[in-house]
Amino acid sequence: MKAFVENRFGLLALVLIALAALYGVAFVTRPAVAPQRPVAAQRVAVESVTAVCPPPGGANVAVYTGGGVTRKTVKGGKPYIVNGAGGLEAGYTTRVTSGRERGLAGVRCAEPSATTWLIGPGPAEAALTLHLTNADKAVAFADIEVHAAEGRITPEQATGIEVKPGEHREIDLRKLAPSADVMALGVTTTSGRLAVSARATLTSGGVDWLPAAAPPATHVVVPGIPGGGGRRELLVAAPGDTDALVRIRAITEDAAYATKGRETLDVPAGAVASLDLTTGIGGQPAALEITSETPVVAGLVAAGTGEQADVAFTASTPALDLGSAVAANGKGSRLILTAPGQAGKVRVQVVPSGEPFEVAVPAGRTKSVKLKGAGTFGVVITPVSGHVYGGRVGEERLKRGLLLTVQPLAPGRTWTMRTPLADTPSVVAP
Amino acid sequence: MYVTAIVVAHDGGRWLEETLQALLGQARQPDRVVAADNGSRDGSAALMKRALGERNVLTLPRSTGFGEAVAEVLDKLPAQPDEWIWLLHDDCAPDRNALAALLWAAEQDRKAAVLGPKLRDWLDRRRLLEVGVTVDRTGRRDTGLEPHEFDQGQHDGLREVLSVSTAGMLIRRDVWEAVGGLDPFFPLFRDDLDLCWRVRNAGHKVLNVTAAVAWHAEAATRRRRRIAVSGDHPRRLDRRNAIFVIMANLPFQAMLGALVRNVFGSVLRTLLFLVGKQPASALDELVALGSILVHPFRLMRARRARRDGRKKGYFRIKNLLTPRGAAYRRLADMVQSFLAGESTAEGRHHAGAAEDDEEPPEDTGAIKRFFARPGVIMVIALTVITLVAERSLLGGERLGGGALVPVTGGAGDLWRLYTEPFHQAGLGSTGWAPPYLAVLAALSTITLGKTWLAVSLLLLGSVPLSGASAYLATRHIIPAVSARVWLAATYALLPVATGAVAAGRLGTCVVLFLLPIYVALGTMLLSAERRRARRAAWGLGVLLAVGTAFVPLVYPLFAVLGVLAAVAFGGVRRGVVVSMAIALAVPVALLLPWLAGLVTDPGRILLEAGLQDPSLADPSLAPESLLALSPGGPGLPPVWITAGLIAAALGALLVRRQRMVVAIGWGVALFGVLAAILASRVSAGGGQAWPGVPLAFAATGLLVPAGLSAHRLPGLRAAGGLRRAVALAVTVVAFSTPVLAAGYWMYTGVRGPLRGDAGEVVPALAGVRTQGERAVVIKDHRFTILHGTSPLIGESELPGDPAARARVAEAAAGLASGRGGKDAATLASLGVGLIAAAPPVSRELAAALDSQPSLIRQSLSQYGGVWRLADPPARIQAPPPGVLHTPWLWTQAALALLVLVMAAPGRRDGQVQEHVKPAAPVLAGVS
Repeated sequence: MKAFVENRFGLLALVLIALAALYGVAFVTRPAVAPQRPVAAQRVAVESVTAVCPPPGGANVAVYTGGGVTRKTVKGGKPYIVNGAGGLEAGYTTRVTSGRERGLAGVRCAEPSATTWLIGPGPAEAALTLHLTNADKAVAFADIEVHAAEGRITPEQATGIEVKPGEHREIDLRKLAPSADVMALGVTTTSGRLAVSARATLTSGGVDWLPAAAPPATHVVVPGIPGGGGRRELLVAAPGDTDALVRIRAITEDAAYATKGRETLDVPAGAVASLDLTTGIGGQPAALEITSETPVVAGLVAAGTGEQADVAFTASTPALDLGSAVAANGKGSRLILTAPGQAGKVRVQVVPSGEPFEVAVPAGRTKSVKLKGAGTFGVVITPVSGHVYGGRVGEERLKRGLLLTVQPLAPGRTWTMRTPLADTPSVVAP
Repeated sequence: MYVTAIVVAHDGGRWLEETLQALLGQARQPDRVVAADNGSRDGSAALMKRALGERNVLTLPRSTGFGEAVAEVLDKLPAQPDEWIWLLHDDCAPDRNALAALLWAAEQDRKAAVLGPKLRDWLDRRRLLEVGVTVDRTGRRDTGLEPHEFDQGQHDGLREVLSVSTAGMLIRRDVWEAVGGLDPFFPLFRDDLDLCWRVRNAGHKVLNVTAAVAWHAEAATRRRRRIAVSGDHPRRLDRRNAIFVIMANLPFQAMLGALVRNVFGSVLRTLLFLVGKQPASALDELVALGSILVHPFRLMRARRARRDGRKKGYFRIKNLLTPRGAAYRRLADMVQSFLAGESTAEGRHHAGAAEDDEEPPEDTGAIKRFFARPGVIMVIALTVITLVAERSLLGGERLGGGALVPVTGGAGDLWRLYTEPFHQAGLGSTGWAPPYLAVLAALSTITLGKTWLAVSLLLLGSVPLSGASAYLATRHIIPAVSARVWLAATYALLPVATGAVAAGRLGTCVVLFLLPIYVALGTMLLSAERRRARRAAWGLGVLLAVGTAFVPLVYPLFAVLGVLAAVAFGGVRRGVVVSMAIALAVPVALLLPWLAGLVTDPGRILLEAGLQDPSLADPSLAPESLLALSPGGPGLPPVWITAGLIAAALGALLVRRQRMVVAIGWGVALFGVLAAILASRVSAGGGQAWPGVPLAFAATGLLVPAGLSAHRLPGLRAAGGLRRAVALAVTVVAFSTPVLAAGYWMYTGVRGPLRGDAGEVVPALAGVRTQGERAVVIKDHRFTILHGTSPLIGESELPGDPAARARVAEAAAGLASGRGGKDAATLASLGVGLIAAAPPVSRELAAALDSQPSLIRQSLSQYGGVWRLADPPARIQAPPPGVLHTPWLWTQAALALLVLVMAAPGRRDGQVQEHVKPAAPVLAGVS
């Protein structure tokens, strides 16, 4: 022992042994590198929904709540406001068979929001009325961004529109952009929220409500293009400051292809470009997938056939990942479902009566599903797998021409994705 | 001229013989020589009777004072025309020509009534004691000389002074009788001053005649003679008399000024004495002042007796008092000489610096010498390295990021946060604020309230600061300067240090600065003389408390080592166990309520001050990193950079001498690495522990033995041949670590999460007028609750109610999902009034928040978004403060003060205290 202590190398040996032991301990206890899992969003139920229907004027408003569909005839020129639990969906369809207003017109009652995009024909082509409703307790100030074929228009009346709590305003868009033949509207509030709807009555005949379009994005899908004859005109707006070179892919029942000779569309910055796809789709139920480097808003004008043509509008919409519902459907309603990427599957249920059934949509195909229901009924679409886009088409064949309305399947208000928030003071670090 | 010489003796046998010989050997013999003996017990009386004759010696009782003795003698002597009295102490031997010179001066100036010789030291015969004495307005005695000043004739000349000592004083008898002689109220101290003042007021002059020389032993002052007058408080008596003389002799207005000065001065001195751990002196100071103040009538009587000519004579006396600026000049001199590196005790006329002319100009020399020191050069080099490496952090508007909350607020805010009983921060908290806030607040107060400056110094200046502390702290442990430079540079540039800077770890930076001081104080505690060891223990305790407040892990790490050391040394050295107990108990006492909270949540012991971000630590740290002292996380050099240090420390194991220290050092290092392994393998609550501080312990353990063993290198080098090559190789290997680390650090710079331009978390929030409501701030998938626009440092560490925070998390996530419902009401009930989204705000989040009827958007831009709840939030009422809160804060402050006083260096032993320098000898004692 003494010899060891006095040995020059004794301490060194001891230390090396201890170091080796520490290395061993550290090696053994080293935890495996756990991959950083992204925070998983959970699907949670929406708790309360407000739907604001533009003045029905005697129409039969259908309100779908989780339980079923109720109908109520609402008269008068005031908007109809429905408050309810999650899953609330409201809308109405009007049917006029003669006169200037001849046509089927369906509207989805809008939820008040800070931003709404609409795209469709301009005041040169149609009489357009914009309905702004403030259903909240706070005053709302809105700016309307107007885009036309020649670019962005900045009319004076379009900024700082004050809508008091409970107030409803109708704005004739002719005052904003009298000469535009196509237009895209962005209604944004600087404070407060507004429910926005717009009704278009084409001078060439036909009437319908403009559906709300998905906000500008680089990848948008315009679903629910009805099959059959009639003009199909795609409208693409690039609200940003850069020109957009848009690639268009049509997805029909038996093919997905870049429209022949019209693979791309140039949209100048701030402008709305239109593209006639009547032959491009070839009369098939379809959806258009649009990709662009710069964010765009897209919509489609579909005209019916016959002596007195009706018109319908559809617009870009998100996928049915959280389900959707349409409250007011009538006879001759069908769903047009599209899976632009992978194959998808959805469950469809007609309420109040009807067994739920599943619809499989092959990859890159569109599928048309006829809805069977009596009178006015609701339909609920629940996702099963994949990303499916869809629209509901309402058709009625009359002698003097087809009555047509289209409503893209907007995300329902039943579910929402809730990302858990971690409570950490390190938020304040840059 | 008729001269009567009077010698007063009291137990002065040691000096008396020489005094009498000198007196009798005068060139101009006095006409009468008489003596008084105040009851000496050492045969002084017999000695005097032999020398002067039986009849010329008067024997008086032991309790007689000097003044009384002279008065008694004069009573017995009939007055002569033009008679002068020459007073001599038994320990005062005049030069052969002293009397002649005094008389010559008296003849020259017929107005002079009091003349005094130049007094030199009895033993050190060239040393000057007095050439006339004056006082300032607080009664402080001023000889106008520097301590230990040698007489080279520099003060020579006949001049008017305020007073001269009674030792060798020549005074006209009629004047003596007219002013009433020495006041018996002053049996000792300041009686001469009082006499001279009265003589001056009577219209006469007081002269100091440097041509006359006397050697004075100052037997009483130097305790060569027992002082037994007035109890055992000579210091108190001196102070009392000093104040009394001033107050009695100044005219009324000047007296009032002097009174105010004295009161403030005494209080200040009392405090200084307390800090200097001289409670007896503090008491003396206070009692002296008190005894003046509680006897106003005594003072009034004395003033009435001195009324004649006081006001008239003042304008002349004013010029002789110490000028008003003298105190400041003295202070300035002290600071200057301290900066120049000179001992304050040394003077220009000190023996060592006798040849004035040959001295180089002082300023340049001192500065040059200062900057030529290796330690200073090293610190400057480290500063340059730091400035280069931290180029990205400098000049930004706000420092923050990583673990550091972007620095806002001033010292006042920090003090408020530390002391307030209810914190509005977060959802409101009644918990104790972390005590490091108090340290930071104190530092910010020193930096004139600028917290950013204090934090920047600590964090950005961490490398040079810890280098300097390592260099200075090891000066008593490692003699070799080059080894210390290596040690300090290596220590300052450890991976832990650069990592701590990059990650904004203020706590680790503070501990890095303190660790070398722990080592120095710990060594002193174990090895120094007992009083210094005890002082080191208190100092260690308070610094340990500071370190623990920033990084709690410091305490257990040190406690283990401390207990081991106490066990090992306890049997060998007395007091080590108690000292170690003090060092370990002080942090507990100072940090008590916060520490108790820490113990209930032991995981937090592994965490340090600041934000806990898991990305700042490596959850799966490699074993080789741990052994190479590399703690993981941002801002680290390659693992192999410390190879030189480890190799040097391993090499130290081969040196035969000082094996004990080497073994202890390696023991500490292994212990530190083990602790680092444990810390890095445990994921503590709220964050991943970072093993920086244990690895710094380990590095310190390696550095000390390696540095100690460096003394072998010169020997090896001198041996030549292979050994010389070995020495060179060892030096190169050892220096590779600091050089490579510095190079790497400068090359990469600080890229870490710490940023110099950390702005507001939600700039838009600053533009929204808040009325004290809280804001939930959402950033990516994280959130926090703010009260005000940006949090203070330390606010995030206040304990909160986890249940309430969970409810906020649930509700905020619900709002961000846009589900509607009661989320907003939940938030409002908890006092949240705003939802803020940090930029860039995702469209989904903005849309979801916009879709909520319960939220009103205030703003949304590139600077973030702010939404206000439609319903006003509930006001969170501050609960009544705890009964113990304020008392405990005061206790804490008192404890901290006490510990600081105990740790502060006290009076140096053997140093003569300036303020207790009685002017007159003590010839009387109380029996």
